[in-house]
Amino acid sequence: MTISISSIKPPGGPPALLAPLASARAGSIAAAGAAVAAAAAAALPRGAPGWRYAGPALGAALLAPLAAYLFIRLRARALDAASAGRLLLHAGLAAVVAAAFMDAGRPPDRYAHLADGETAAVDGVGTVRLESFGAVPDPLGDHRRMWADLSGGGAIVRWNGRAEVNEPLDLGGRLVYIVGAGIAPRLEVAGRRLVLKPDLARGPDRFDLPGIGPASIALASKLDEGIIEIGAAGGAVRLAPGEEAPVGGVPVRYDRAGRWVRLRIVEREAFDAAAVGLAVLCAGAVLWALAGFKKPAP
Amino acid sequence: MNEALRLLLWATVGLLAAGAAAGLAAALLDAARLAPAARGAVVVAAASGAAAIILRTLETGHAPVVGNVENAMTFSWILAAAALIRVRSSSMGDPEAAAAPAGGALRTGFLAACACLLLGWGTLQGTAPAPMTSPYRSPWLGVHVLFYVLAFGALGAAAAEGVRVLSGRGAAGSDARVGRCLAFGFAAEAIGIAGGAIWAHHLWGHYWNWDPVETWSLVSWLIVGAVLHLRRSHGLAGRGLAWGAVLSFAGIAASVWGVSLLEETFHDYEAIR
Repeated sequence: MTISISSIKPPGGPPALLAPLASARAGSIAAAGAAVAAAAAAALPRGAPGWRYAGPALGAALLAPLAAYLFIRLRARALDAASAGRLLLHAGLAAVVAAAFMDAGRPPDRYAHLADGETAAVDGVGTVRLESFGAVPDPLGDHRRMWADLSGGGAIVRWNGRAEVNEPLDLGGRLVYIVGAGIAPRLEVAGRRLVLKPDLARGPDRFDLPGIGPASIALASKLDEGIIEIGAAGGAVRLAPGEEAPVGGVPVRYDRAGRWVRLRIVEREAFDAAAVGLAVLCAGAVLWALAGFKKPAP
Repeated sequence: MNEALRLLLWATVGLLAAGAAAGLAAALLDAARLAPAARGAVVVAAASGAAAIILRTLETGHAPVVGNVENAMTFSWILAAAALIRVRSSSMGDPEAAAAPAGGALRTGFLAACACLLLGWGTLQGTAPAPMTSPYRSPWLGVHVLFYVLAFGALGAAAAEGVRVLSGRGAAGSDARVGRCLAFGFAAEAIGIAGGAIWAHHLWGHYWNWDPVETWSLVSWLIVGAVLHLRRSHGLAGRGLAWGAVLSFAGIAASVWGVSLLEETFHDYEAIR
């Protein structure tokens, strides 16, 4: 189950910026552009953070002259279908560019690197806990599917749900992605309990183990993730869960192979603006192609 | 089944090599009688390539879109198919093979040579099936790959026609054919990029990551766009358009095959396999 957290929107925003378009219908292109630019400038200081307005403002400033030009030419019946298609195509492109700017101004992504059962505080999100990890292995030792059951939230709103590769967990304004996963061996080294999170996707990973110093951890076989190989200055040992052996003269007990995941928490991107822009762009391209390709090239 | 596939792939490489040799010889030695042989070899190569794709699909249970050999199979097949499709000029007549057989053979030879090199390289990488791991399990992968394959074929056909023009064997409708192939390739690559961006959003949380593969795909798309723009707005034609077509094909080849082999990229999906 997912409990959505609604975002709080500051006053102003895109509707206020697009309002001058209505009054620009009968005016000149320059007047329409200037009106939108003035509205954008007025709106920017009102909101925090300002990036929320930068994209729509730019988009509106680019779209307004095009829309006004289109309207004026159509009213004067001086615009053929091919030219209208070309204009729509460029207007759509402008919207996509504006969406890209909106996206560029997004807050940075947050990350959580969690072993199963572990909880971490994530800036701006609250806590995130990895309840359990699941995977469907394939015969070659890779995974057909992998998912993480998560919970978290702040003091008032709590949530829980499942994030899967290619299917992020939607928390309203934010999306949670699995961008890394691996085994998390629980070791007891020189009497200290450790949970390691080696990134074994590209080979052995290195750690400083108490009493041993630099050591490498690797999977003995990709097909059996339970068996690990610990290499140190004094030699290397292979351990299965529950086994114990000295590494460099220090006793190491391997309790169990848990799992870890690396999560990326992303603010929702400017998808709606980009989708509208793409739709306008495609409509313009089709109109241009249908009208323009019938004529011989000049 | 894997051994049968390997043999079939090498047979296809051999047929493509024969088609390339016959096509290039027909054009460069003005031996028109070799042109049908080139075309025949590519027809058989396309059929055996299609059989290999079907065999691989039956073996793995998914479309051949994972790993070097599967991508080499599909991308080389589309080049072979492009060699066989006769794009008509804007007058909707005058197929180029009938008008200038040596030029048509050069086009066939060029595309067969590219397909041969690609499939040979892919087969040398090993034919063991690559796993269909969790990152690949997205419907957008199909859209992304399908339209990239179509774009690759269209831009390959444009480049082949461009090579023909650059060699002085162009036909009356060559410019129109190049323009049409570029326009189709441009649209298909745009859809391929958009499909890939949506897949990236589902997988990583971002439509665009400025990963080397993505950056080069944008570069290659902009190259094609620039050539089309120059043609439409400034009347680019003849050798200039031909060089533009060759550059466009080089761009998409670099983005599909070059960058991921030379640069560290997200596109190996190791972290979530």
